Parts: sequence; C-alpha cells; structure tokens
Amino acid sequence: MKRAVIVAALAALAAGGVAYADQPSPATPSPPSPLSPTPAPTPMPAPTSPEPAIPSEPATPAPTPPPATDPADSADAHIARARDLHDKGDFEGARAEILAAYKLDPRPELLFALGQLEFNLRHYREAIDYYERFTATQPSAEQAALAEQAIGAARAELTRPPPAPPATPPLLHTQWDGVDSGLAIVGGLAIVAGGGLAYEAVHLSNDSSGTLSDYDHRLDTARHVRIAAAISGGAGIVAIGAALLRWRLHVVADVEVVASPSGAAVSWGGAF
Amino acid sequence: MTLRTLAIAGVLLAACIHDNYECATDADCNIGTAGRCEVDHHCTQYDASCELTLRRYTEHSGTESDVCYAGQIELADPCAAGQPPASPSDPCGALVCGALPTCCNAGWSEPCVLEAQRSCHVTCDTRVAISATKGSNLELWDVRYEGSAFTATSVTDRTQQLDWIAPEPGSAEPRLAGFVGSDTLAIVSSSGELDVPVDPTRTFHDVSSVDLDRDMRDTIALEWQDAAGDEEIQIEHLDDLTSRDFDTMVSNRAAWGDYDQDGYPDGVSGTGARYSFMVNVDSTDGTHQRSLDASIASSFNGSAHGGVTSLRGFEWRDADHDGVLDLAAFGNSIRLHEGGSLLDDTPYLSIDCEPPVVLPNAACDESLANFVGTVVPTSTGSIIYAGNTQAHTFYSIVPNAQAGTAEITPLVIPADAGSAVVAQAVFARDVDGDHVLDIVVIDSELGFWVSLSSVDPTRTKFTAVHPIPSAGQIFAQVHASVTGALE
Repeated sequence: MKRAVIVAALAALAAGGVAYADQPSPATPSPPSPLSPTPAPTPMPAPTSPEPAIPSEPATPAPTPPPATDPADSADAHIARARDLHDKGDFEGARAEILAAYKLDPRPELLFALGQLEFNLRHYREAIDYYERFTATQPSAEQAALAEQAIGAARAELTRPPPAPPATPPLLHTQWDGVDSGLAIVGGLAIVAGGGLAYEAVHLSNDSSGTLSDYDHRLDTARHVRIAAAISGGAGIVAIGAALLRWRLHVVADVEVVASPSGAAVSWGGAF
Repeated sequence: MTLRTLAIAGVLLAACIHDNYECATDADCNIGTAGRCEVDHHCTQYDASCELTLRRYTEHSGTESDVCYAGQIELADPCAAGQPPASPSDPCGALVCGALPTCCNAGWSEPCVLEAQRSCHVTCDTRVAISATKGSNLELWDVRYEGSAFTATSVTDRTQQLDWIAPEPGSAEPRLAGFVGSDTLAIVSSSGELDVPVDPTRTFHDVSSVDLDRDMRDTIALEWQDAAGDEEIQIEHLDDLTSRDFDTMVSNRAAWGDYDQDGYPDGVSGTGARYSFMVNVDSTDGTHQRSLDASIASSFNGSAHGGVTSLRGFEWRDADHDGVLDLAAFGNSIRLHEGGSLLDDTPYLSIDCEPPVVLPNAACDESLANFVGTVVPTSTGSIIYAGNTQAHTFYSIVPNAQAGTAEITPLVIPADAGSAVVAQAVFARDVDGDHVLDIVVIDSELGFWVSLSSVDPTRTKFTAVHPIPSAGQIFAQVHASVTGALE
C-alpha cells in the first residue's frame, strides 16, 4: 500500500514535472497520483526500529534550482531513476535521486515524496519533517490533508512500542521432586525389608532342629515369609522404578519473564 | 547397583530356600508311616508303591524328596559280601546285576562277589578265616593269598569262631570278627578294634554282615543258642550298638541271599539236619519293621535216611543260570533248591551216599556221607565241587538243569595231602587274579588243595599246599569264612 502511494507520487511528479516546468509554481504542488488506490499512506509496523538516519540533505532546500543543461542530470531524470529504484525496493537510492532532483528543481511535491521515502525507510521523524515542510508550501487542501494523514501515521509509528524480542524457546529439563524422593525411599525400604524377610526365610529353611514335622511347619512359614519378601522386594523395585519413570517424564520449562520499557511478557511455563 | 541387579538379587535370595531337612534319629522322622532316618540324614517313610524297598523319601529331603528310596551303594570293595546292594550306576554293579539282579535289588552277597570277579575283572586278594575244632580244641587262622602264595597267621586272642564281615560303610577294608571270652565280640579293621558287648548267656556261632533293613547301616547278624535251647538271630547295628532278636530255631552257618526277590535279603540257617529259610518280611504290627520269618524249614533227612547229621554250610548261587539265586545246602547230603517261585523246602536235586548218587536211590549207603562243597557258576549252569567229610574223596557234580539228574565225577586228591585227610571246607574265588574262579579245599589237617585256573583251566587237578603248619591232628569241623579286598 505504502509503496503504491510512493509510486503514485513519483508518477505524478513525473507527469507534473513537465507541467511544472511549464508552470513553475511551487505553491501548487501536484496532487498525488490518481493511480494510487489509497491516497493516504498506511503505515505498517516495522520489524525493527533502528535509529532514524539523519537526512543527508539540509532541512531547507536550495532556493534556486540549477539550470537543466544535461538531460541525464535533469530533475525529471532523477525522478525517473528514483521511480525505477523505488520499484526495485531501493529506497535509499530513490531518496538520493529525489534529493538530487530537489536540488535541481525544489518542487514541493518532492518534499512529500521524500517524506514517503523516509517513512518507508522508517525514518519517521525525518518523514514528519518532510511532510511538515510539504504542508508549509501551502498545498491544496486535499494534499494538505494527505500530508497531515501521513504525519499522523509517522507519529503513530514513533509511539508504537518496540516489538517484543523473539520468544526464547523454553528450557526444558527433568526435575526430581519430593514425590520421587518419597517413592525412592519407600522403595528402598521395601527392598531392604524384602531382603530381610528373604534372609529370614533362608534362615528358617536351614534350621533342621527338631523333628521333620517341626521342620515342615517351619518351612511352611519360610515359604510364606519368602512370598512376603518377594512382594516387598517387588513393591520396592516398582516404587523405585516409578520414581525413576516419574523423574524421566517430569519435564518442566523455565518460566522466563521478558521486560521491556514498553511492557512485559511471560514467555512460557508449565509442567506435565 | 542397578535396578536389574537388585531385582535379580532379590529373586535369588527369595528363591534360595533349602528344602532340606537333616534328621538325626528315626524319631525325628515323624511324618508319614514308619519314618526312618537314613544314613544320608534324610527321612523315609513306608510306601507300598515303591517297588523293592517299600520306602520313599519324605518331602524336605532335598533333591531326593518324594523319590523312592533305593538303598544302594557304590561299592568300595566288591570283593566282600554282606554289603548293601550295588548301585546300577556303578559300572561293575551294572555288569553283575545284569546277570544277577539281586545284587542291585537285595544285597551284595557272595554270588555277587564271584560274578564281579568273573565279569568285572576286579582283582581281589583272598582272605580266609579258619576256625578248626576237634572236641574242645580250637585253632584260629587268618590265611591270605596276596599274589603268589597263601600265608597264614595264627589268631590266638580269640576264643570262638572267626568270621570275616563286610567293610564298614564307606570303607574298602573287610573286618575280622571274633569273640573274646563270652561277652565281647571284637571287630578288627585297619582303623582299629571295635568291641561289641554281647550277652554272655548266649553261645554265639556264626557272625555275618547283612543289610537286613536296607538302611545301609553297619549291620551284622549273630546266631546264638542259649542253655534253654533257644536258637535265634541277633541283628546288631554296629553304629549305635542297638539290636533285636528273631527266633529262627536254627543258629548255624547263616548265609544271605534272596528267597523271594522282594528287595530285601533273605537268609538260610540250620542246626543238625534241619535248616530254615529266614525270609525277610515286613512286620504285620504296622511298624513296617523288617522281620525274619523262619517258618519254611527243610531237613537233610527229608529224602535220605539220616547219616551223619552235621550241617556244613549253605551257598546261594545261580546254579541253573536263570538269573535267580538258588540254594545249595551241604551236610548230610547235597541239596539244590531252585530259586524263584519254586524255592521251597523241597530240593530239586539231592545227592547222597559214598560214592555219591542222585537220590532217591535205595541201594546206596547214606550212613557215611557228609558233604562240604561249593557251587561254581559257569556260562551255562554250574559245577558243584564237593568232598565227603567221612571219606577221602572229592567230586565234581554237574547238575542237569532242573531235571533232577547230575553228572558226578570223582577228582584226584593230591597225593601229598595225606591219605587220611578229608575235605572239611571248600570255597571258590578267583585266587590267582585271572578272573576265572579257582577252587580251594581245606582238609582236616588244614592243608589246602588248590586248583588254580591259571594252572589247570579244567579245574580238575589240585595241588596241595600247606600254609598252616600241621598240628598233627585231624579236625572234625573246619569253618572257612572267605572275603577279599581290592588289590
């Protein structure tokens, strides 16, 4: 959109340049090109906000345009090249050509074009300066309104908060928590208890004192103790395994708060 | 330690219950019927479903739990009779038991030793305990053949008959048993002397080893008679010196074999003209203790007219080569009882008289016939070598299977044995180590007539040797107890 406006302005300049040359009246700049679908510039948020470049040209244009002796060095030629460069997206080059054209022929419309180019280069202050200088040339009411609209857009860009820095991917890591510790401790105790029971079972089975009937009863007890030992040990192993599994699956992200002069954001946080 | 290690350790620890009870006495084995603590310290109980031994290991017997008790041993000395049956896992045991199943089923008796010498190619020394009597005169000799000749040692510190008994369990050394006075049985082995107190009111005759209860304990049988005329057999456990008596009504020359192939050794013993089978039976009182049933009796007079009524001995042999032990009785006559289901009080072959003939024979004179002898198994049957204690004669007798006939051939007694001597004991052993049985006769002057197969393969020619210095007297009774040890 914005680019279309600039192109339209440049096209108008090119067309009006001839007429202007026929009717040099800086106080009556040509209106923007009717080719522009939207006469008002529509500023778009810029990804970055570098420090605006200082216009290489003085704020006040030269009062007397030099005579156009060389066609290649005429204002119209610069304006034509500016259009080409603009079409290629080379706003810097286009600005240099318009400045050169302005030096040769300080038409007020070029101030508006420079404002648009600076806007495009995100040099909003410079763009406002050019727009105001254009307004100061007493353009038509329509052009003045257009310039005021452009000034408003540039100012809006100046007040727009800088974009938040790109979100840093959350740092994921596993976390051993109290539940895991509890499970591991319980599991360890269960295994120790199972070992003790198993030892007792073996001890009972190794005791051949008394009669065969005594031993039979003792071995029966030993078998029950062995089952208890197996259950206890198994439960302990399961508990420790659960703790380890839980630890492996217990992924959490760092909660990162990003603060900036214009606001703050919580990047991400959570666990599962 | 990783989880896996923990788990494995836990499982192993939990599984490591030793189901193994070790008993010390029979009273410890109080589960089941007739519990018994075996020598391996595991309990067995009566179980009729266990063929032969009728005993089964109880639970908690380790790897043997609920397995039928076998009661077999790896023989340390296959040259000695009176031991528990051999394990078929023993190569020699397997060979012998292939010919004589009783050697693995009931007991390692003398025919098992002879079969081992023949088929296992084991080489044994030969030890003969000689007890010679005439009236009140007693001479005791320990005679051995250890490679080349017989040597004799007089035994003077014993007062009654000498007998060789089986090695102590686990040992390979036969033991010499003899009475000292009337109250002690002294048992001598290379490890020392065991004095067993005995009842002085009893007159003891023969001592033999027998695993009567199939418990593989050190067990001997002592035959005795008392002033009241009781004749019994005392079964003595030498490990704890406990004993029990069985009234057999006979008490001489006990020989252990297999009457009924039931897995327990049976015996035979006699007195005078009478002899009885001592059938090893399960007691009927519910305790399932073993007992001796001596109700089946026979008599040398059954088919003869008496004669010299002096019992000389018994031999269990597979005389007809059918794999079952038969019984040969020597005394007033020579009687062969066929083993197996036909073994009863009636012999299938009786030989009597001088010269001997097969009975019945009304023409022969039995009055001067009294025989000693031995039965030598052959590849097809057997040969009986017998001498008449009443005459200077010696014979080979070849039974014709169970036909009740026999071929009787007189053998030449060595000239230098003396013209007046008579055979008083005969035994068969592989004396010379060529794995063919040899024949040894001990005469009434304690001279030896020897037929070594290495010298005379026909075993019809005898040579007289005199390892025992001649006492210049004729002995009326010579008892020879024979054993051996591996060379």
